[in-house]
Amino acid sequence: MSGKHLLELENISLNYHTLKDETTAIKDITMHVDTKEFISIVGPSGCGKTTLLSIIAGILKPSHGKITLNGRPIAETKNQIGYMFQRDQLFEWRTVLQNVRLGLEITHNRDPENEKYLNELLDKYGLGDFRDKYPHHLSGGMRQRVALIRTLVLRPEILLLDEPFGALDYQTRRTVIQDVSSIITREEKTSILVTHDLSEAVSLSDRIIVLSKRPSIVKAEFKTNLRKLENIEERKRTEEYKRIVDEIWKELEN
Amino acid sequence: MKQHPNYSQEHKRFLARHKRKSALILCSQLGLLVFILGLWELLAHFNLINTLIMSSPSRILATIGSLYSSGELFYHIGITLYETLLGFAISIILGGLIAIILWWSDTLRKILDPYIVVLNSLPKIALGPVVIIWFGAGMQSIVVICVLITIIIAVISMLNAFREVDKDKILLMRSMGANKFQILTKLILPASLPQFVSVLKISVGMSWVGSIMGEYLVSSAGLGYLIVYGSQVFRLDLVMASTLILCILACIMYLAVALLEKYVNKKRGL
Repeated sequence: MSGKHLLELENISLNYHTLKDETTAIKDITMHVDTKEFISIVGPSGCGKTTLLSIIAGILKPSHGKITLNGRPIAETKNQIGYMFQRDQLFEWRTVLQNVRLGLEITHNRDPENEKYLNELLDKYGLGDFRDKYPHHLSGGMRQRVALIRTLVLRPEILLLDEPFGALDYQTRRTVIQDVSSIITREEKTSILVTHDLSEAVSLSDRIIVLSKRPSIVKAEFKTNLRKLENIEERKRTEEYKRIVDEIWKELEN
Repeated sequence: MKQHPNYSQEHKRFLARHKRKSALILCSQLGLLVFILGLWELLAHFNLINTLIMSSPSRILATIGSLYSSGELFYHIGITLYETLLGFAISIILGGLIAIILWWSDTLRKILDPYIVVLNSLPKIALGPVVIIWFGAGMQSIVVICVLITIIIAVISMLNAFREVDKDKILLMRSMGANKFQILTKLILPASLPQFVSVLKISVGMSWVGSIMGEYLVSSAGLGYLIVYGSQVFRLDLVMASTLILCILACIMYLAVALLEKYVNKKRGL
């Protein structure tokens, strides 16, 4: 089936080795992601969701299995994966502009075209007036937007979102989720979100993949049509949303 | 504090109260100093204490005056300051390099770990005699002792700072394809700047300890020498005067680093 989808994972397993023990964190996971899709991965805590993201990012090597991006093994693809974390991980000693430029510096891609793209993104998402400010001058929501733009600048094929809303307070969280969702839709990015929050997963995604507890396997998969609605709160008021959340709950309780 | 015309009466009262309290604290601090010095001087004046052993503020000042007029004052200050600053600079530069190497190679860090622990727990001054035999009875030995006393804790603190940098930040850079050198220069070093400044602060104090201890062991000039010499010939005036000068110098250096720290933290929004 190689090459049909943007990202393909085939029978991915990962064993952890410690002096005491060998544990299987992930077992035989097969899944795929298509271009512009928004996928969420949910599951009980400690089920290896973050481990799976690290494998997709090419930071961890799986013990078994094949993983391809655009038909090529993931190890050969560089900078096609953007990462967002629970905390924004902005560099406090860099201004907003310098923060979003980080990836270009690392990859030695500071050409006028990329600089222009970077400035366009900042302007487009309301950070144009803050480019010379330091992160501690920004609100939590703005900081997370800067973090997102920092990854977008490298034009990644896939965005990996590792509980990026987890550290925010309730009110900020609502606006940040809406912001991130709109930006991803507008920039037509393919995204994989890892979260333990079902309402987040269902309201944001085209597809939700439920993992079992360790060693984790794909337990179930759910599709939604909610992304045709722009407003997240509106999505949450639909019958479809309530039904899918219910079904996932039942799946997790088994 | 900026004066703002729109402050409420209550806020103005709060500010006034705050100002009064600060003034009171400052006055008390100065008052305490004047009281102690005055009491000391009076007790000495009326021969209630033995000035041969206890000296007195006026005699200390007179000693400093005569050191100044004979040209010795700045000579001795210069020597000690030179030793201290040189020891401090070597410790920070060399210590920084060692910390970077130990951060770079985890295996090397693990290999050297027990040695660092032993060196850290050893009272470095015990190495003094060996240092003197190796480096000669001169300024070289003093600087080496100063470095020995300062560098270990500097290495340990800097390495800790490097290792405390958020792992997700490293992951982020790796996901962007950064190599280890980029992670060091773009993340580890700038992220550790506030801790680096506090290492400077600790090291300033340590290098004063180092140079004075060194001078106690082997020297023919410097403030430490004056203190030892003064005590040997029972000139407590000289001992006290040198100690006072030392105290002022160490304070100035500490304040300079503290100011730097304040500046760095302000820029970081800490």
